Amino acid sequence: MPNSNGGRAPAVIAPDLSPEAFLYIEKVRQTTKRLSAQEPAPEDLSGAVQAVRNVATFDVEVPVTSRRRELELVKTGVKRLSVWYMRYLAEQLNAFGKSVSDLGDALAKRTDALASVSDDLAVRLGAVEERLKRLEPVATVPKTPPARTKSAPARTTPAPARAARTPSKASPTKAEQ
Amino acid sequence: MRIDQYLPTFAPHDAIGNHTLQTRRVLREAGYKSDIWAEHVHPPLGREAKPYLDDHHRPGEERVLLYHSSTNSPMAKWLEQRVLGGEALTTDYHNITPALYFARWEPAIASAIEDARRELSMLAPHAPFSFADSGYNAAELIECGYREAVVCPLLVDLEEYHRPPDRATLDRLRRRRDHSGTHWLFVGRVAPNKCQHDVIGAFAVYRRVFDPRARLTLVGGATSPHYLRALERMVVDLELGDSVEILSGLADAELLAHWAVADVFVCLSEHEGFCVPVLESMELGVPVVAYAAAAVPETLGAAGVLLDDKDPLVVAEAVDKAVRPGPARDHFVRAARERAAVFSLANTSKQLLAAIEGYLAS
Repeated sequence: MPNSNGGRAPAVIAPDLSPEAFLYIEKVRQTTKRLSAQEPAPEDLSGAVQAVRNVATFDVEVPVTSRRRELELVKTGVKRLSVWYMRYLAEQLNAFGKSVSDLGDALAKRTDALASVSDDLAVRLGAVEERLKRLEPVATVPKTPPARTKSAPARTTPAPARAARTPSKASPTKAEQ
Repeated sequence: MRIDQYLPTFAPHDAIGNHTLQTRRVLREAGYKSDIWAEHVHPPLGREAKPYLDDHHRPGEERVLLYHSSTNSPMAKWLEQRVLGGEALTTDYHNITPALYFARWEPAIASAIEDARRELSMLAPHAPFSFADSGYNAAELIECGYREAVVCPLLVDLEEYHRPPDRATLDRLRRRRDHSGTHWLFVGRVAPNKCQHDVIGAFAVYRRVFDPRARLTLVGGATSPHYLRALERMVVDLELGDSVEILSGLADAELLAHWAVADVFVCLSEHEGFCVPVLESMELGVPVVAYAAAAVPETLGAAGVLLDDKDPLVVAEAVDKAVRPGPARDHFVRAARERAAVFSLANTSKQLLAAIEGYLAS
């Protein structure tokens, strides 16, 4: 409606709608979203499978419309003569397309499952490493410190900073051996 | 002085083809020699253009090569060679759709689009001065490395829209209209960037909420057959039956009949370098409801409803308000005609000639 912001429409006030209408609108929203352009993510396997599915249907209903009536008649004739042949090929191609997209689905599910296991393992490994880090200083402190000169203790105590950086690779000290 | 035009595809019923013919008229009327050279020349226009490979260097003749860029073509490389040989080049940019829109539907087209963008950038250092249909296109040129881009809208002969519509089609549509409700129309090639799926979605909601007898006509040839098939499936999934028709290959007079019965033009396109159908709609007094994207706000101005959100319910409600008879609708029709006059052939021809003469003087 004409308004001060250059013809831009004001915010919508939704009319009273039945629950069925809301459900239908939601269905429409989902459908339009599915067909909208999406920035392809390099590792989006499900998106790639969906892209295969989008082009995996082969249509035998060849358009026959033309500006010229005689050309339209010719196209219709050719279509009728060849439709049995095209249908035979299209059925096989459609089956192939479906199998490829099913394969993609299966791979995507399997990959998701593996990724989930891998995430779980990473969390558990992190916890183990944390625990190890906490235990290492305790394990390296001798129960009865031997008598040393004032400058000696620095040699037997591991540097905490180094142990924190590479806990799993920390080599045992002479005292631990 | 000679100013020759080059374009990849020269086809009838095409905005760029018509613009090229009108540009040649403007140039010839101003006293310049001008020919059209193309890579693909469609048969009905065979006498208007020649194959570009037949164009040879003309030593001693002062000449500018005007390239219409909108798609990929070996012509770009050929033009670069001509510039390196000492000829002057300028570009008229009609926009290249981002590849993102085609990647999932037509990978081959997406790849061609990427080539076209590379070619556009490749020519940038050779065309210091360039033209663009809109400020939106001009900004893209600058982003591609062009030094200067002047906005010259597409040359469209709006008088052609006042020819009589096809009588038989008009009678049929009027009879049908007696038994139906609001008639939505969108004109444009079936392509993912035009977002016909959003139009169908908004129309489905409109039918459910506002007018169960409404009809939608989408007119345009299919650039993406896969996307077209998805649209057809969508119509079935949303139980729209025969209330939606997707037409292509219409003669101009038949298209005019569809304009004549349309109550509203709904454009939810996300990428347009100018959008000629919006201009047609304004000229024909059909209210426009459009998504404010790319060059559409620039073409439409304040002569229609611009939406920042294209949620189906938002669009349906905007259409409901735009089609209701009353002062608001009358205002839009009046504003639209005034806006269309800004793009009259006389105005845009003057604008183009002034820009070309400015370029030559520089």
